[in-house]
Amino acid sequence: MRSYIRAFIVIAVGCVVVALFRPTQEEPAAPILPAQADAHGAQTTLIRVPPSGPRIWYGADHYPRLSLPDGQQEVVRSVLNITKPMTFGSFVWNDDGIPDGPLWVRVDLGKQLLSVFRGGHEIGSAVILYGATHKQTPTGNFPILEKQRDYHSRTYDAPMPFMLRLTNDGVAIHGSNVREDWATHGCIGVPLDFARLLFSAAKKGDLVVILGAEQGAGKA
Amino acid sequence: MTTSSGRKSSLRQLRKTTAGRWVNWKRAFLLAPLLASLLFISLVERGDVAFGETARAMIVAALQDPLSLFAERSPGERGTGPLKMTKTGPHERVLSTVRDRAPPADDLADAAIPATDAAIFDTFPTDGIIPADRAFGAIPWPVSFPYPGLDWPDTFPGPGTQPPTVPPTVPPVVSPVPEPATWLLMLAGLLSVGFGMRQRGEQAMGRVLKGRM
Repeated sequence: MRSYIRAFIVIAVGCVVVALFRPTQEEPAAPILPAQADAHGAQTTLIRVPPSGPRIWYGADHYPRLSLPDGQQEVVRSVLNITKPMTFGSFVWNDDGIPDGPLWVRVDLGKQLLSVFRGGHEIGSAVILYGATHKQTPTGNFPILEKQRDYHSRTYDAPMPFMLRLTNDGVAIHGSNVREDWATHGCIGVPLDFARLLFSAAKKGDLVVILGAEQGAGKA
Repeated sequence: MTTSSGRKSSLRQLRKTTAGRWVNWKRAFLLAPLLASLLFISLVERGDVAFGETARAMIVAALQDPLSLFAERSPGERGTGPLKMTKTGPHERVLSTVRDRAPPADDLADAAIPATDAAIFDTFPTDGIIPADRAFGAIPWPVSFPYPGLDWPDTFPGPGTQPPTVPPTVPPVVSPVPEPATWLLMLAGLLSVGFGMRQRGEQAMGRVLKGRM
């Protein structure tokens, strides 16, 4: 009987030891870009220990870069520290201590996210609405053509507050009622308060980059 | 296996009452670390749990990559279900006068066309242009057949005949909630089982009372 017990103990300890010192499959490569995302664009890595503070700073020696559709790259110096999925209608805006600099907006249709970068620092992020399947939002680089605080669409006879026009055929970023499973006619809808902040921060000519689902996952 | 210690633990009492051989509690408790380690290994295999160097590397890699941070905060991709669009329109502004105009009068309708053929011409576009395949030879049916799985006949069966009215075969919809009849049948079955058990129980109790058991 005692040998029985001993055998069990040896097997159990052996299993624990094997589990602890299992050879690691994924060796960390040098700065990983684009993300190792699965087919749905969701990251399989789970961060159990979220970093504290309002933003995640990158060291000056290894700034990550985000690639744009035209092949250029934008340097990222810090991003907002949002580790939980954002809800529809919510947004984060924090430009405390962020100096002035060139502003650009990254719109990720697949992730339903918009990020505002100023001088390489992310100062705002929001969940967006975008065009329905039969009224798709175009992808690409779009400089802001026109700003209007109280715009009223003639085509749709609808208010579009804090409108930032992107294309001449009517695609714009404007304040909307952002809810799940709602869609637009091609515009990008952001929460009204976020639209106000973005309107005051952005100026005519600033770049808006709209990425489709594949581009946003870093595959294109 | 006899117990030598005099300590009367509840475990041993339980073991004694369960006739010793069937439940060996000491052995069962020794299995616990084995099972726990198996569970742990399966979690590690699935990638739910990471530790040590792997976890550190994963966190560092995720933090180095803004795209993975965006994925963390994303509400996910939009669903494939129906979407709600609040705006109506777009409102036509340029072509409205053109589109509101009444369609031109149909000159062909008054022409010397046999009455039997007039019905066919009614299905043609009102601008008077007749496709060649409809005007001559075998005349196909003018509209697409509305019922899935069935086709129109190749040729027009002749003036005056109605299209065959075949009702579409609708697949039966299975509700997750049973119908009242099903509920009644289930209740009847349960009642009969209960009745049978009750009967048998009375018989057994009768045997006990008579001292046969």
